Amino acid sequence: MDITTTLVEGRTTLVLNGRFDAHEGPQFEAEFAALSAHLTDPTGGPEGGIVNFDLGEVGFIDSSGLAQLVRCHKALAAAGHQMRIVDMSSAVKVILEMTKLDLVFGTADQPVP
Amino acid sequence: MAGSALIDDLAQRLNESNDRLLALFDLVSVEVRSLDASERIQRIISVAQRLLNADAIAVSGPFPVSTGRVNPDGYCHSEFPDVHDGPAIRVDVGRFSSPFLSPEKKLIGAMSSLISNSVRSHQLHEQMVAQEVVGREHELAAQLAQGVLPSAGDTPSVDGLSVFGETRPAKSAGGDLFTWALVDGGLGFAVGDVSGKGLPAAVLMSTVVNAVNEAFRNQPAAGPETVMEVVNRWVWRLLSEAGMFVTLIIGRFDLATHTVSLVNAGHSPAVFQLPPGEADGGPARRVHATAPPVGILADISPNVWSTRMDEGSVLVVGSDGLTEQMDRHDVMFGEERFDRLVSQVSPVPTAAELGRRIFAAVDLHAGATTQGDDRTLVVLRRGLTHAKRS
Repeated sequence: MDITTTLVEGRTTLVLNGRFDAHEGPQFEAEFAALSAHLTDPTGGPEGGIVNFDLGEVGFIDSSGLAQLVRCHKALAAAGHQMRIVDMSSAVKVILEMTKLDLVFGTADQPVP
Repeated sequence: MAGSALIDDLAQRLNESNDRLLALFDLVSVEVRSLDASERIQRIISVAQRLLNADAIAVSGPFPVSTGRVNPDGYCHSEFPDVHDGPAIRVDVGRFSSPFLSPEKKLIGAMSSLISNSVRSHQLHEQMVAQEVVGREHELAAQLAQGVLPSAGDTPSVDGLSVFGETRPAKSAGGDLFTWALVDGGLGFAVGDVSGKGLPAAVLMSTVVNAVNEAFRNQPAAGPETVMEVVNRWVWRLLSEAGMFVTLIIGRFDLATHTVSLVNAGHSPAVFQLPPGEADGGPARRVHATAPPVGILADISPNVWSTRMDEGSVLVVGSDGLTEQMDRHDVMFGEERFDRLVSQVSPVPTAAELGRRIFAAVDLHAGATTQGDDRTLVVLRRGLTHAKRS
């Protein structure tokens, strides 16, 4: 899985591309740790406290991938930030809707209140 | 040089050459003679000393060994940093009669490599042994965790209701769970799947089973939504920031009203099949999740789904390891096929036989393909009749 973090006009976005399963865990954790370090920098927090996740090119996600997203959600909430999924593939959409995790993660259409 | 002297000299050189060949053979044979690293290194430097006519050889590092008089003047040395973040291995070779020639320096390099490889293979062997021990301990812990699940002969006896439950882990440290208990006026049951794999999933699985059983015991008249609320709070407090979660279905069959009710928190849909009658029972109905998995939010409020189970009705609660099992063409078993299977086998008069047929169908689909995930199945079937469609 390819992971890139972009910072455009104060908006932080984590863009994932590929399979998101247990094999990708260490790489994802490392990327998110780097992002978290940036977030804790008082001069570099995300705009509006929102961190975007672009899952539009994730062709497969399993429970390990979901667990990683849940960890991000909890870590961001603990740091006073919010997670928002700005795009998701149909494979991700099906799983999030089936597990009702779409109610946990904010989406571009349906932000968490 | 006179002829006889020349012949003697040649003979001597030939003998020396043969000695060196034998010594070289000894050198390359050392590796297979012994598994003890210190002994191996001792033999290597002993042979190397003969080959090089060296006065002293000293090896420093994890297995320090030396031979001969130690005097650093004029020594040739090689140093091999350990690739596994261990201490560097240094080999010093000394000879006072003459400096080492280029081929001899190559031999010293080869000897140093041999020593380095010996140390490395010893370290790898030690690591493998340690990993094997840890692996066995994990295996044992996982087996202990599985012990909280109901055993094969532990099926509850409920009047007019046939019950089946079984889990088949993909690895011995599985995260799937099921449990059941006789509660006030009926049967409580639960099926779940802990995120992740291995020992952490198995340990959390056993914790959730205990939490569900405890809730059934402490609140035997409670509806499934109340049990879910209690379990969610327990798991949420326990998991804190860990990011693990548990998809869970908790249900209750009421003996007086023959009603089954359940709540689904993030789990794959339960499947309900009406009995085959004049309307042929209709297609199987799915009972989807109405709340996220437990352990993520402090409070969840799943909707309660409820229906009457007439004779011949079947409720199947499985895990995604059944529907997501791949065949050799990478085709999933799938939910539609699973629904059709439940409809087809629902006339089978006992839940146990019904469950066995579902497992067999998934096995048949998988063929030689490895079981991708844990498979868990709980089946409730009302009554013992209705075989029209079999």
